[in-house]
Amino acid sequence: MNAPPIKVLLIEDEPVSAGLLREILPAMSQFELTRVGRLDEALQRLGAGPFDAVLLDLSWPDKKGIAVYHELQTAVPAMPIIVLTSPDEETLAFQAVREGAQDYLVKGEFDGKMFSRVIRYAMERKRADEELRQSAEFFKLISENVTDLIAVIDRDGKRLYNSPSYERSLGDASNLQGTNSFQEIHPDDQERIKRIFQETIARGIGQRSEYRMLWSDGTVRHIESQGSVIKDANGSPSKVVVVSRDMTERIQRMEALRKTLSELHQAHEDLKAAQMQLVQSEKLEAVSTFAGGIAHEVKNPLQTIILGVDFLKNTFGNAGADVQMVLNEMDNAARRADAVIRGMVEFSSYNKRDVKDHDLSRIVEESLRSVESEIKQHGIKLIKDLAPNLPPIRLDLKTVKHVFINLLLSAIQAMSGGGTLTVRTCLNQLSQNQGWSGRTPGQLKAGDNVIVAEVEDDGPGVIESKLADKSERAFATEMIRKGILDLMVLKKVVELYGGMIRIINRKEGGVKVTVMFKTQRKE
Amino acid sequence: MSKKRILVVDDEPSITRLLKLNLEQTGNYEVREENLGARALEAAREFKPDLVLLDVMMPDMDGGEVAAGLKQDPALRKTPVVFLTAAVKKEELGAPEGKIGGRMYIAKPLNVKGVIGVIEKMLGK
Repeated sequence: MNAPPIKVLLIEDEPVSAGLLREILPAMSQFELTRVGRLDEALQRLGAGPFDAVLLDLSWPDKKGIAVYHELQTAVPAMPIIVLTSPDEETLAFQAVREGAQDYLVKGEFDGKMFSRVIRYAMERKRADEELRQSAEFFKLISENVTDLIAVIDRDGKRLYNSPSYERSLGDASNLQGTNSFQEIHPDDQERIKRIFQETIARGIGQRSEYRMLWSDGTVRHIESQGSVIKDANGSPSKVVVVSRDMTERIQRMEALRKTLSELHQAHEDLKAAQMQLVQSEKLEAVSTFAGGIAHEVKNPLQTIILGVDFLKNTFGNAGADVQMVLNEMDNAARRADAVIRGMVEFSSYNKRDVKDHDLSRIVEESLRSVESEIKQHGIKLIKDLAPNLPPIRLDLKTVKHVFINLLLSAIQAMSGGGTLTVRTCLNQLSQNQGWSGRTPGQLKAGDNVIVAEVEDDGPGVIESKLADKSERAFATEMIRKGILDLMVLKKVVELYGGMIRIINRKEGGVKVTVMFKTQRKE
Repeated sequence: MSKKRILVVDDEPSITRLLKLNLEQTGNYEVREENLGARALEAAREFKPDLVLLDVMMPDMDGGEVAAGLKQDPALRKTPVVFLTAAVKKEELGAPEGKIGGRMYIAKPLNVKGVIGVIEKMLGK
């Protein structure tokens, strides 16, 4: 075996005892002994070349051997030191061992074999100590520098160790030892976390958990923890290492992100609605222009018919009742067609439509103001019941106001001898049993939330039949006779904004006109 | 009482023809029709009407121009003019007759009663 020799530095001021030692050594060729007489010389040697161990004689004058030992140990902390002492100074040797020396030898009481064993063991122990020290140092370094919270707790949940990072959450980590590790957990989460901990202990398997924690600064934080079980020599769980992380900011960021996302989604929906409205608006524009053009073209032939009927009426004034009836029917039909055309021209003249969110109650209020003098003039009593805070409806204010003015005028004129005008707005859910017969336009169906405006008069009604369609026709004829815009035109206008108009005869006389619009957003 | 002379100018022959028939049926009017704006002045000079019913929108020459021409002719300057309009402007709607810019108008569609009413008012009856 050609192992390199073990180099030992002997610090010994008495050449005599050094000589004694040398006598033992020839039998141990694996040792290479170097002697120095003074400490400074020793340190110089140790600094210059590698030694495996130091043998220090403690028998210095004035009993200062221990002091020398201290100085040496401080200078070379990683070096195994074995002290050499005389038989009457063994207590000194004990002290040195307590303070870190690897072992001691008593002069004259050891042989080559023992010397060899002591030196080798000393070297081995020192190496193990050093590894342990480095690993402890390493752990300390980690635990002091991580931002994660590292805790070791016992089977009962008492704290055994908390990393310095706990200072931010619970104050000085060194005061935490022995305290209950559940006490700062949010009361609403405490039972659940205790249960998880007990499960961890019982099954020996760590778990991940999330909970809220009350920090010493008064804040509530969202914590995520991962437990790992440490088992004792018998293999049963004795401790749990818990690595925790403050998730509050991440959760807040996620919450903010979620909010932004939902806002984005809403903005997208709004944009889509606005786009649809724009398309609708453009469609409206095109239809209006077209309608206006058609209206002009139809006017002249219509004019011819009206003048022709006038002529025939005058010419055949004495003809039979049938001829008179036919001429009257023709006259009514021509006037009706004229009213439709007038309506088309009128609504197509609103070239700049400004489709925005509007409050139906306000529209009705403003329309009422426009017909205020007519209401007074006819001595009509007004009952107004307008709901506040109705959801907005997207429409063109001027156009829809015009519809309401026409409906109000029609109601007022039905009560030229006085009466009660009831105007009402409300939010309602459309059901089929509202006394409506017949179809509902595609946009509105049962279950829809609708914003409703009602105009009711108690004038001598237009009731000719119980059928809604017939009373509508009668109402329309009545409107035309009174120079009010054709009902069909008003209906079409309201339908452009997703609404509808229905006319019903009131049982007690008079007419109830209902205008309704679908609410834009589903709740 | 002599019949009042009415000149009716409209580019639509069926309208002028029926107005003529209706007005003359009353026995109170003598009506001349004209369907071209450009010929209206000439017709007026020849016919010397008591009143002119003048369509506003005609393809060759609009009613406004015809009226301006009448104003410039010393013999016709005082002849009352009633415009016939196919009502497009908002302010013209709602009232079947009235004034725009100080000029008398009747909104189409006309009915004979309405037209006679305006004529009689204008001629001071």
